[in-house]
Amino acid sequence: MTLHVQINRVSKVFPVGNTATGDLVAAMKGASEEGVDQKGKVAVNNISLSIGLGERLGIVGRNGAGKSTLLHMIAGLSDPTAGSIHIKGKVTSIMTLGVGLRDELSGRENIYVDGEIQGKSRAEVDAVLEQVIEFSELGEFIEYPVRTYSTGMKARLAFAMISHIDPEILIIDEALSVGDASFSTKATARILEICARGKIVILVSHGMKAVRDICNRCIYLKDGQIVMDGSPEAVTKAYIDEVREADEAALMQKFRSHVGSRSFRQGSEIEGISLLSGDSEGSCVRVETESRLRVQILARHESMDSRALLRLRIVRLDDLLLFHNDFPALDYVLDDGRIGIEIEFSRLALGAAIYRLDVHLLENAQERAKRYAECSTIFEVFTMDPPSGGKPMLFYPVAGCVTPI
Amino acid sequence: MFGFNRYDVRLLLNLFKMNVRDRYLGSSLGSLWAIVNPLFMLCLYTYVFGFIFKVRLPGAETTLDYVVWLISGYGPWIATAEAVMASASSVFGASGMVKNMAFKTELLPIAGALIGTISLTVSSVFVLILMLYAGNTPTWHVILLPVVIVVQFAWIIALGMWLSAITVFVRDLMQVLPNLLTVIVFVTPIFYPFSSMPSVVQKLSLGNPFYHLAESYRSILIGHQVPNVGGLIFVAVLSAIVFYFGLAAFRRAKGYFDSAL
Repeated sequence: MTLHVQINRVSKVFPVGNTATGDLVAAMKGASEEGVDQKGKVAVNNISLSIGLGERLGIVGRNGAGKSTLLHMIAGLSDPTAGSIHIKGKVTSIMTLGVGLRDELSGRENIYVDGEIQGKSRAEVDAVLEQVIEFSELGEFIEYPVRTYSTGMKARLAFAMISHIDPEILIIDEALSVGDASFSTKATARILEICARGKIVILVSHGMKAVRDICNRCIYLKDGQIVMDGSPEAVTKAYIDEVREADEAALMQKFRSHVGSRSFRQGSEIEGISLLSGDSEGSCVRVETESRLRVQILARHESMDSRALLRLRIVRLDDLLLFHNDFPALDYVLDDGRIGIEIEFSRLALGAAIYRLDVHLLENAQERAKRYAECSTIFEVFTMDPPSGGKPMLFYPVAGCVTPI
Repeated sequence: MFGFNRYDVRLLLNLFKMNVRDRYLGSSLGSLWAIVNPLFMLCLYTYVFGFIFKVRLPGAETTLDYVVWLISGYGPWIATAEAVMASASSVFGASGMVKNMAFKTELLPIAGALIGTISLTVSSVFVLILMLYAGNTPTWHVILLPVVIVVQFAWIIALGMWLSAITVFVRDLMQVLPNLLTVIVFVTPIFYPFSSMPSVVQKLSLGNPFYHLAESYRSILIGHQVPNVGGLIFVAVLSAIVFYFGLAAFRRAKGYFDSAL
């Protein structure tokens, strides 16, 4: 029989609001027949999954999607409330680094303790001891008590201790970033190496790059259920897209009082505003600074007057006016009589913040002109690499050149 | 046996070593405390009862006889109390391991209970020295001691299975347990002879496993006779039953440990 992990209709319910004795009684009675009917937080909901030899499975999902719970059950750390898990092969799990570290003992002694926890004999530990010490790059500090170590040194020691396993089924939960940049690279390379040796690998990570580098299959968990199962590239992309959409929806929800369209005259209405970032054709609410932004406005205005105009304003949420421009409505009339206009910011100069975009349809440019319709929307400008030393309000396009003065 | 294999025996030994070391980690004398602590208690009792109170057993000539009698019962009790406490807190105390490593957690209460063997060894050596000094040479019956020790630890492990699993969910047990042990030590004829109990209580005491254990030690060391076989069988059978159901309950509960710890 080849190595495999078989998960059949597994659910896990965490009891909520029970008393300690209630939990005890429930635990002692074991998995109940009705199972999922139990009250509480459903962390994993009726998942079936089969992992075969040679598969390196990545699990992605937002916080609380049930990734770790599922992993804990596969590792045998907790039992499912309902369903069953069949595993053929020896499972090695790496959940948290440095759990077994004893502060009072030296690094070298800790390597032996770790071996004891793993159930290895002293001879088995001796066989890999020097390699572990070398990998940890601790040098003479290996003889000092662990309490004198920095956090990074502890992490390096802990990682070195797990780096010499020879797993059949390997389970890793977010243990990939360790120490400084150079050690982290080394650690990631080692993980890749271990994974290549592992006959089955199951990895939970928020790092999409790690998932794409290591895995050859990926599932996307949402609210305790598998919503997607496929190649790492496709699943991670779908996940990132969905996360971005959810972020945007949350942004709109948070500032919904600023968003909306109003009409003050029969027959006049701003029907829609879309923001297009870069070259994409889909509307978005998050725009990177210094990128291309196009604003498309569609409006309806019956009995057009030659002085009527569209006014575009960009206001920061603290009411600071940053941009103000008028466009004569008559210049942008479409064939069907509506007004359609696209305004391009070829290089958005706004700094990272949340802004409100106001579009007004006005009678004329005068101070007390009548307002026919208005519409507002919210967008967020972000920077990938925020400059250090303060947050500039503007990224004004400038050029420097050598000039004798 | 009971779903354990050779690999688990090695892990059990490792866990035991770790328990002993972790307990005294950071103290300068280290594991030496495992010997010094019970020794100190035994010396204190010898001093108080042997030199201050000068208590004498009915029918015994010297106070030293009382001290030997006391320690032959109280020494094993110190080991029992220590083992029960260590066993009960074993799973809760190793929460880091339980939450992060897949292993047979039912080994933890067993390894915890075995802690008691150290102080049992210390008090056995102590009582043997006192016996030689008092001119009470041990007879061939001492070869029966291992049987009593095995029964004693079987009983402690059986209790530990339940206590360690319950402690994970109901931490209050760790506060209650020391008091409970104090009650047991006074209810059990350890400081006083069985014969001085009222006859009703004597009958009830026959159902007290701790009484049979203390009495077996005394039969061997003081009475120089084969201990009450019926009593020992009673404790052994009781242990087997409690252990069987305890292990089953523990194995059902262990799947819920990570959410309760």
